[in-house]
Amino acid sequence: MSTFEREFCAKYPFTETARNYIASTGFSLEDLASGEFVEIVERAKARIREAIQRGEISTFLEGDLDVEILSYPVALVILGLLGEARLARRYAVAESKRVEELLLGEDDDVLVRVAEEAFSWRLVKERTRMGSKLIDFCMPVHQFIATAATFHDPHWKLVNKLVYDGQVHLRRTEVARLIAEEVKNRVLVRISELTSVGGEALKSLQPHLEELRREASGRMKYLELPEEGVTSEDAYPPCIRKLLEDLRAGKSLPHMGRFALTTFLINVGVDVDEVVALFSSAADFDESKTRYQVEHIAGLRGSKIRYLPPSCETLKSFGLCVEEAGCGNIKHPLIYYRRKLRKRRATSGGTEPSKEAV
Amino acid sequence: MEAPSLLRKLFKQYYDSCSKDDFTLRSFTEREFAFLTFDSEGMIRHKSFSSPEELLEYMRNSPPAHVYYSSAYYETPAAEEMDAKGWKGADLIFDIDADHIATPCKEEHDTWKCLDCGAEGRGMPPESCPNCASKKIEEFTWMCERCLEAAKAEVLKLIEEFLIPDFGVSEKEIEICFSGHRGYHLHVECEDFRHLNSEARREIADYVRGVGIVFEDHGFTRLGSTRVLLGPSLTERGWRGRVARGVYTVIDAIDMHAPVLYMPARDLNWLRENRQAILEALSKEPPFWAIFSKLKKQSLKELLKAAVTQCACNIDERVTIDIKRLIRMPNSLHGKTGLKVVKISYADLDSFKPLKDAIVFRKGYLKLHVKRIPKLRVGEVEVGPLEDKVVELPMAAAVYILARGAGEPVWR
Repeated sequence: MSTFEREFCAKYPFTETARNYIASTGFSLEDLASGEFVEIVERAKARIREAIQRGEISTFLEGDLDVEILSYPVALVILGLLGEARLARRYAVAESKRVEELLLGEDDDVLVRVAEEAFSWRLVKERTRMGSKLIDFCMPVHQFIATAATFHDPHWKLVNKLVYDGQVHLRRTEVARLIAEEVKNRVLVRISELTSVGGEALKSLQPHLEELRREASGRMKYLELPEEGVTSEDAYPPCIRKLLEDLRAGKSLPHMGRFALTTFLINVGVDVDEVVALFSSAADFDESKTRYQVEHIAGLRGSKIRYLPPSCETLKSFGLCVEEAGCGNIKHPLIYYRRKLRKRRATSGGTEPSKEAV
Repeated sequence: MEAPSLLRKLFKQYYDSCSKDDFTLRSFTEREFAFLTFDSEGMIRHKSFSSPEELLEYMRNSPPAHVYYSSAYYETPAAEEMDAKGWKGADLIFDIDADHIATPCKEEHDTWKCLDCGAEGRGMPPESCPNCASKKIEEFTWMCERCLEAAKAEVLKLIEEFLIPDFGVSEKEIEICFSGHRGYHLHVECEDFRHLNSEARREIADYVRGVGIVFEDHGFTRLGSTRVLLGPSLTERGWRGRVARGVYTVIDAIDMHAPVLYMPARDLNWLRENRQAILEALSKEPPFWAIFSKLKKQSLKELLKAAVTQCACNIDERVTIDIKRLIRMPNSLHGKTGLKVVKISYADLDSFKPLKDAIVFRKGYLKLHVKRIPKLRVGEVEVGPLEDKVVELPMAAAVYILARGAGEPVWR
């Protein structure tokens, strides 16, 4: 394969060309045990490390391209074995950013090729006049909404796009963003499929896993929770206490309120049964539905991703923040909880705070 | 014999006369079927059948009041837990119901009653009782030609304004069904949409309903800091041209039945007085939107919103978004009307007359005691208004009144 093509594979290792190339090298995970491929493992770790530390991943085209290409599947295997949903998410977002930046610097044909090879998107270069502007691409409605529906920005709504003959017309920057988003989705799916790799490969990766786990927990500590799920309600932030009160009083919570409450409770260690029981006082309670949703949020179903509660900013925009309570500079309900608990333990003479430094 | 047993008997006669070809569906064995019966309240769910023949056999043995099938395709449609069914995909469905369209005739034939305080009213039932805010509202709704015509117009709009030009769906991929009561279901038989999740389907629903439109994304901009406005032309495609045409229609009808425009009288009068000039300005290429510079910013926005309402399609979005919906089975009978769920091709829709073409029970007469009905038309027969009367009616009208629970058979 030409250097140009191998560079393409290094930049877009999730494309068909790259997958075929990887298959043609005959590389398998079992090989990792031999120590011969230490460079690949190190590069894979570097990818993950960069994602942890900076939320970004660089693309190296100067060194051995094979190492660069193979480090991608190996990184996903490592993340799968780590089984840390938050880390997986952070990594997926970083990969998606990497791809978006690269795409913005490419020719139109490369965007079309990546979209086709990676997701079978029928992206077409078609210049359309939209008022005084020209738009360069279009793609089928169903493929567009399958990815774009998760965006919250109103400009991404189908109703705000130029749509006709089954095609959505998109600008170059939008196409790059959309491809990047789908990369994120696929990376997450792939990682969730790779949770069990057996045998020698696993053994040889074990020390690396421990190392990365330590680094990740050091870096992403702010979202970690105190040991032992001693859930003490009075340490809950005011917004969550308010939601609980309302729910217990039989008021119906808005969708976002339910989501915030459930994610919060799950993350502080309340078990699924208890959460479901809480909702049983709601007027429209349906146990099997509620259980399904709570389990989904807890990461026991579907995407296997455990959701975090929304940030204070989001809660504010949905009118769920109890602003007069004055939480100070806190930006996330879980941080409020963690600080409160820690403070309490410190005053009650607990030995907890030693965990802080890693 | 009371009304339910009589209806059950009649429905059995109908299913006895049907053939298995009346109940074919794409991917028949991957569907879940569900039934409501005449004699018990609960729904019989999680049924699956190996063939239309087997389904027909079931319906003959225990004639159902209502028959539904799942819009979804499942690995194991008969599994009792939704999770265990193994969702494989679902048809894209639109539901257009006269219940959701405000027609003036509803004041004449529909009534509602609050089950908590007893307050009553005419027309479309309110979401909650205006007297006591209770949500327990009982509706007494009736089929009527004008309501059904309004629903049909909405179906045509969906097809001709959205599905064909914007979504690129071809005529032969569209299947229309009269629901047997107050509306139509529209199925898009297109592989592309089958695997979409709810969120993605919401985008489709919002698109046809015009929900969440940002006018700036459709070419409406102000030139720099001036009040000069730019906008799309009438001939453009997608929502751009649609909003432009909507404004044109609203202005065109401003002296007649235009939608209510909430704006200061000064602005409204200006629109009225300059109707002709505005229409001409909008027809220019490029259109001269700057003519609206005289309007307050808020009034212009109001006008654009009215244009969207004018052009949007009134579907029940919940049905489109739901990927596990139960849908009425074509060629089955609707237990609350006795009418048939009729499949109609797009070409035949225009001439389809639901209150004639969906009638099954055409022979004979029945004597019944009518509790209370408004003026009704079923087939060629017009009856009512009636209250507490014994009358002898042609079968279709009698069945309709019995099925609505507004009468009881009288036996000599």
